Amino acid sequence: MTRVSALAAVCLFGISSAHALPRMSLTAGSPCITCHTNPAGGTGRNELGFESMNQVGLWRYGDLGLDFLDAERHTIAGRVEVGYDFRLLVARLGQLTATADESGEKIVQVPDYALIPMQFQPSVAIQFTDWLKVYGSYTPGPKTLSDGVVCDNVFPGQECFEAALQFESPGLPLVRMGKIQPSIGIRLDDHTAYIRGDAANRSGPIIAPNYAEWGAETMYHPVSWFRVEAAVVKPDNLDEALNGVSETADLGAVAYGGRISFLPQLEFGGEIETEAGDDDFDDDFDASPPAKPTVINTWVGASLFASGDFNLVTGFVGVGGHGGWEVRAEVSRSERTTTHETLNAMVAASYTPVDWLSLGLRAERARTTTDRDERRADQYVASLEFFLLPGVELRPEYRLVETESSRFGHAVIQLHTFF
Amino acid sequence: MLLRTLALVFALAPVTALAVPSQVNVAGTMKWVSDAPVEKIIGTADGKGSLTIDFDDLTRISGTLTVAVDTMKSGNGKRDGHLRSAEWLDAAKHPNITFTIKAVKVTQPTTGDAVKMAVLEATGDFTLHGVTKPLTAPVTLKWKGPKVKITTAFNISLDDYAIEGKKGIVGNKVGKQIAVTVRLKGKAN
Repeated sequence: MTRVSALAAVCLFGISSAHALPRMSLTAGSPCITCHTNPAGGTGRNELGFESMNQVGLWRYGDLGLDFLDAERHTIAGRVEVGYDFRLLVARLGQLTATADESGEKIVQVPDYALIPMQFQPSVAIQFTDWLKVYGSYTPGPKTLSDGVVCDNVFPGQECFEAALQFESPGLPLVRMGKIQPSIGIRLDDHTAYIRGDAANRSGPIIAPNYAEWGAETMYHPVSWFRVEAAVVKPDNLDEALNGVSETADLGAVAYGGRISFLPQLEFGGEIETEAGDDDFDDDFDASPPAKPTVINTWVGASLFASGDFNLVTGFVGVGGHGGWEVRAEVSRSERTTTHETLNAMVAASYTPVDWLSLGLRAERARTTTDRDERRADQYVASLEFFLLPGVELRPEYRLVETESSRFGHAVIQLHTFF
Repeated sequence: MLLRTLALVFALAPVTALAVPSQVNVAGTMKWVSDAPVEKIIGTADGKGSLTIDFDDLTRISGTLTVAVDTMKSGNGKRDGHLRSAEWLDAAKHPNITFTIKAVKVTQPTTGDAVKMAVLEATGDFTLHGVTKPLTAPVTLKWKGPKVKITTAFNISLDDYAIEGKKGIVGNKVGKQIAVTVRLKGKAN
């Protein structure tokens, strides 16, 4: 029976959201806003982001004589940027069924693999003036097409749209107002991630993918190595996530969020020699030109998101290099009114030897302590991101989930197209 | 006697070679840094050059150093593509960045025994993005026998070289000034 629940947790999520990719930021040393409209990343690329996307692929559209598909054509009149994110998943959908044979031995039947439409998320951004942009995205749910339910969210606390006014002027803090996701830890937007989940209720994460609230956030980035965000939002969706089934948190009228990040770039080698000496004219003088510096991008930070008796504290660290590798770790802890504490951790690493191929590993541990018991869930994920063409990705994944009473492995493959 | 004379000639040959201007082909690395509020980019490129150096009179140094725009790397292949595009350095039209030395001033005379070093001030024509402007840069020259090392560091302004980039990017995500450091080495012929 416990194996049944483990499989259900893996497979029953119908709709995901665009995955923010912290690896891009850590390997390149660029913040999300370099390529995305939303400073926190995710769906909705700016012009630079679309052009970047257009250069990633085993094949380019031009190579195949399909120049008309070139992503550079996404911009309308230089002011309107449109895009979408579409995902199809091949996975075992459904629940395990357990029956007993004549001898009483339990027989578990695993569902067959099925093709599952996972997400379609269109997005748009309009640059009204040099300093004002409006952006938004919409995520329909399984019942949107069949039953006309406009907002059909799969997870409690999920939001079907994000929309904001964004004020951005060099030298001034960036401000966004509207339906926004405040900056909490490292944005991941992966519905399978445990880092902001709940081991006692794995289909009800604390912060759902595509979580968003009405409110405002400001981001101040005075120098390249330091950034701070502060947000005030109305926690309606947080209330649904924490109190939808039973009252577990006494939330206030508003929720406050803050994140502080240090992003120093470390440089090794390639120093300029200014003193005379004979140690640098050695025998291998002719062997190679002067060494190039090695650059390590780092990101160390913490965030707090709180309302009433609820608080979620997150600490994170990441390092990455120009060679295409990155390692990051995050720990998050939450408390609420009733005895319901979560302590989750994640370590992830990836290596991108060429732009069109990335290998990823992720290990996660989730612990939830309630007044009744302590629940745990561990997860190990190995994945490949294989970009066949610009905006066309195949992502096979193998996922192993362990709880206190079950262990289940599952292979999936995702087709991801975006523009 | 003849053998002794020949031995002496060969023994002095390298010294003699350095007594007159020597042709030095150098190669190495250019590091460039864009430090803007939103983003700091540390990049590299391959540099090479052909210099004529009179080690007895360093003010007579001449030659040209070249960096191919195509070799510029920022740690992100996608960003490198932007860098080479028409909106930025336009590598198709202007494939090389060059510095042609026109005059050299010695600011710190030659010191050292086995390894000699001098600090110079080189003035010349710096060409980037098809625009040529005069540039003066401090240069450290070190040599041991025929082995030569050259380092220099200077700043360039994107505005001076008509590099505009995308609107709103320069000054925010890309620095208005780019710090350049060059390290080269080679052997006198």
